Amino acid sequence: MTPDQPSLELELRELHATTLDEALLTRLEAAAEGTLTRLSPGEIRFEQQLRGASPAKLSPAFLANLEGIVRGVPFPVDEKILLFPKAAARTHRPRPVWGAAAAVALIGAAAALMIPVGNAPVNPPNQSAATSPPITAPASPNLVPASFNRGLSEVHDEGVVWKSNNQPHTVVRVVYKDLITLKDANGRTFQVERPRIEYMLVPAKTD
Amino acid sequence: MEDDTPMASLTAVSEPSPAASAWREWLGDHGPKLLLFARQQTRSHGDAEDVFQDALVKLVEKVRSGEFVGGQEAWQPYLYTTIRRLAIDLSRRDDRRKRREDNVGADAETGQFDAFNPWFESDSSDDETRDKLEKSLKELPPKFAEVITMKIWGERTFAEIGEILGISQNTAASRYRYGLEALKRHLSKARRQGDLSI
Repeated sequence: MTPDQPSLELELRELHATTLDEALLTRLEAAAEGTLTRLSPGEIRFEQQLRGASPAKLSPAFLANLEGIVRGVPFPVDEKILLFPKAAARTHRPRPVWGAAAAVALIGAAAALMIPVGNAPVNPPNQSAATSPPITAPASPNLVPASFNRGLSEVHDEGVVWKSNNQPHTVVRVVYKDLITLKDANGRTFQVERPRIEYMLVPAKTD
Repeated sequence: MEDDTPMASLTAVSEPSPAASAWREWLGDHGPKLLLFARQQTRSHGDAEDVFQDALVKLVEKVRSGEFVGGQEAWQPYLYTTIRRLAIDLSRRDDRRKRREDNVGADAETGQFDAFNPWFESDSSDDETRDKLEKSLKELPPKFAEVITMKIWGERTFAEIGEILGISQNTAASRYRYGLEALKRHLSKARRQGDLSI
């Protein structure tokens, strides 16, 4: 230590750090209180005004470029469902899906026929009117089911969903036209046609 | 599955190309915000489109390979982070290039091109306001402007912004506040001159 150093040290000690300015002090207080991330009403108002200017839309050419990049990439709707591009899904989808759906539908129809006629659950005509074309309800309440025919009308492939067990499933929409024949005490027959839609999940194989 | 209320959601799956239309909708919703951020981070409209596109490619590669951690809600934070990183890389490359060549002419051309690509929609506010806002944002220190862009137009929280920038949410909030104040001063000046509606 040179002879000058003690005096220099003394001089330096005389200097004081500048006091915090008001803005910084307020900021530090807010940080300590955990309120720094809360905006004042004035700030929120100004924020809203600024939000009134919306970012410019993407140009059609640039959007087309971006769409080219994402083409063929599945789009996750949530943790369980993943939308696949139609073309990609087709190349992976095994053809027996239609057969499987038809088979399931036929099993359902056969099962319906196995139900004893007397116990068959038949909706009263007015109850099925919400989903059926207008049907003239027979006046007599003593109607008994005479026959039931589950007619398979249409089968649609609705795409692929990804279930929680990490298995892709093809959604198949099956449209039935159920024909119920009812008889009253006088032997008169009434037919009720009821369209019905069911969705089925058929496991799909992917590579 | 009996035909009942879930039918509506299942019907949505039956679009001709569900993934393509979902992507289109997502890009339509979030693309403008991300491009605005890219514009704030880069020197030109062309650069902004490049970094946004490259960031999307990176996201898509991760999603396709199953490497991406998190669901769709994590895409935006990932894209903001990637856009920023790519913009920094691009800026460094540009700086090196500029040291090697005289680029004044090219910059002038870029400026003219950008005049046709405003940052904000022309129908969302009057042209004067839009131009002043864009100019004010460009004049703000980048560390304030990026927080403002993400918070106001990107609708990110301070916690998300902090994560994207690698700072605490308190620091993000402070930068936002300083930036907002500075922006208000810029715009107030313009308002006093009578050419601004904000």
